[in-house]
Amino acid sequence: MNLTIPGFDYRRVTVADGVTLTTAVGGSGSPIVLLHGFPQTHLMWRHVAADLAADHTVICPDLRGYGASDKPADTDGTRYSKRTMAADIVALARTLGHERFALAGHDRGALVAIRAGLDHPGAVTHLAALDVLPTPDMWDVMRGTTAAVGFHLYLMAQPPGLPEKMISASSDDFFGHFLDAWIRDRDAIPPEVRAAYLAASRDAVTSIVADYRASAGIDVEHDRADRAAGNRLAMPVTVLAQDWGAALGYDAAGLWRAWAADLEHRTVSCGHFMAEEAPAEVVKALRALLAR
Amino acid sequence: MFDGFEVFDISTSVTTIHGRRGGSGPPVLLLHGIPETHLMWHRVAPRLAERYTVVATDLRGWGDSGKPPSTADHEPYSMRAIARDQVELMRNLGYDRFAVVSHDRGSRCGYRLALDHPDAVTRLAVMDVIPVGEAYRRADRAFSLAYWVWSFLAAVEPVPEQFIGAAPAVLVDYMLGVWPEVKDAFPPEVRAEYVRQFSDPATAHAICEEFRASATLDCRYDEEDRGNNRRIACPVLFLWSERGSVAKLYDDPLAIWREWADDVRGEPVPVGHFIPEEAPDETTSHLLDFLR
Repeated sequence: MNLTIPGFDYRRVTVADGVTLTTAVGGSGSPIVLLHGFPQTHLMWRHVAADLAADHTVICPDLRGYGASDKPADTDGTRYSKRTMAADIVALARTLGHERFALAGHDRGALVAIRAGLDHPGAVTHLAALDVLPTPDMWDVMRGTTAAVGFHLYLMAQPPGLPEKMISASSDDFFGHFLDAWIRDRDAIPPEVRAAYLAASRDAVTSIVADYRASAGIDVEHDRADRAAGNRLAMPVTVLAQDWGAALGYDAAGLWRAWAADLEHRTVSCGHFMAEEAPAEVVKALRALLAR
Repeated sequence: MFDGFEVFDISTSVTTIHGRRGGSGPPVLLLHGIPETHLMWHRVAPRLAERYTVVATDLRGWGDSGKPPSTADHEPYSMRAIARDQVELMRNLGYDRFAVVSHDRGSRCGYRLALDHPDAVTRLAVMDVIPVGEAYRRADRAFSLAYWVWSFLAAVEPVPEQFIGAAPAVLVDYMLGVWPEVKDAFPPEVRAEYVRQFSDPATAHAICEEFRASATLDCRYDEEDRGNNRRIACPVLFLWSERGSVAKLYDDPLAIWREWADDVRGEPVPVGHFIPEEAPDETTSHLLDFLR
């Protein structure tokens, strides 16, 4: 059941008061950190990481609250802010000997990556975000009846108690729904990997909800403060996105441009789980980003 | 509870409608909301029955009424279809013209009934809602967070059905726990009936279909009526919770109803969402004034 990325070492690294992340580390060369999304673990990077490891040091942690990493209780509403989760990643890289590193995130991991890029511009050399909009834009584009596509966002934003209870009561159905609904190539997540994602998520309901709850509140505040102050991502940025904009009626590249001056925005034809559905395309985009 | 009322199950052209009838005088139809059944009127109905013939029903799909199969476009659970049952039922009971008193989802049925069957409805009382088209047209992040139940129950089949099936009482307890201010407004036997309906997979599916129809067809019917300036012809009473979501989201909810009818009166009531159960005396007195 304990699936790993072949050829990678696994380490436990303490990044904050009492919080230890489990991370896969492999390859050698200039460092790149890969952050997974929902409802997944670092395993989603298995194809991309194996390729990049040929000439890079590749670091794939489980985010705080996910997979084999620690899941501290959210005692004050800040423990799963993207600011806190981004600080974890900077501390992780530093402990592994990298003051500066490239950073790519998918889904939730991309939100952490964006925040790391804004809060730690001296540490993040290049930034890739796979299939998300910045948090305030994401809330803005879901209006009226389109909210049903993001029902999980509204559910998990509710005060502690209800969402945790409801999701725990049918966690495999809940998490499995997203793995099935957001994918185009079902073979891209084989049964044993799917089982690993479900098992990891089942044990992380409370912290996953806390991560999402932060995105309905404190993360929006942090993002809006940056926008108000005119802070933008200073490093080269690549965004890979599904064609949501056409379906939901917004200009994704336009929204992103407000956050990043040096932006490459590409629409890809696969489903949400692009690092597993189209790993070669993702690798190519990441290598192009690293060359900028 | 409902002393002196007779229980009925009456066939319409499509399904059967369960309910109770009591009292004597001009006919008044009572329509319930979520997560309830006609039992929500147990404190108000007996007092209205002193002057009126009171008919309290379970909407199609809900409680012990029939649950006809749905279709891909959810049409059988549109309020247009649900309202048609109620008109047929009242006609079967011998009432071609009647007043409608309604709460929550029941009010969505009530105003659709008044728009589609203007000759049947003499007066319309609605509680703690605005028309669904108006709600979705204004729906932003704040709305969707407050009305997370809408996106949740309208989410793609079978996701919400699975959630409800895994823990039916959790959702009912949430609604009856968070939405009222008078927390003990629900006798155990009434609460048990509400949980019973959510424990029945056919009812749970019908309820989800109703919310899916709400986000699609009902919304479209409202927009069409608004475009044609089709208005509610009868007098309207609108009561809303003074501190609830309607009051928080809309500066002047009465003005919204005035766009839908010429003769609108109403005021906020200093209780939570479940106005007829939380404030039966005040509700009854408003209704007796209005129906006179």
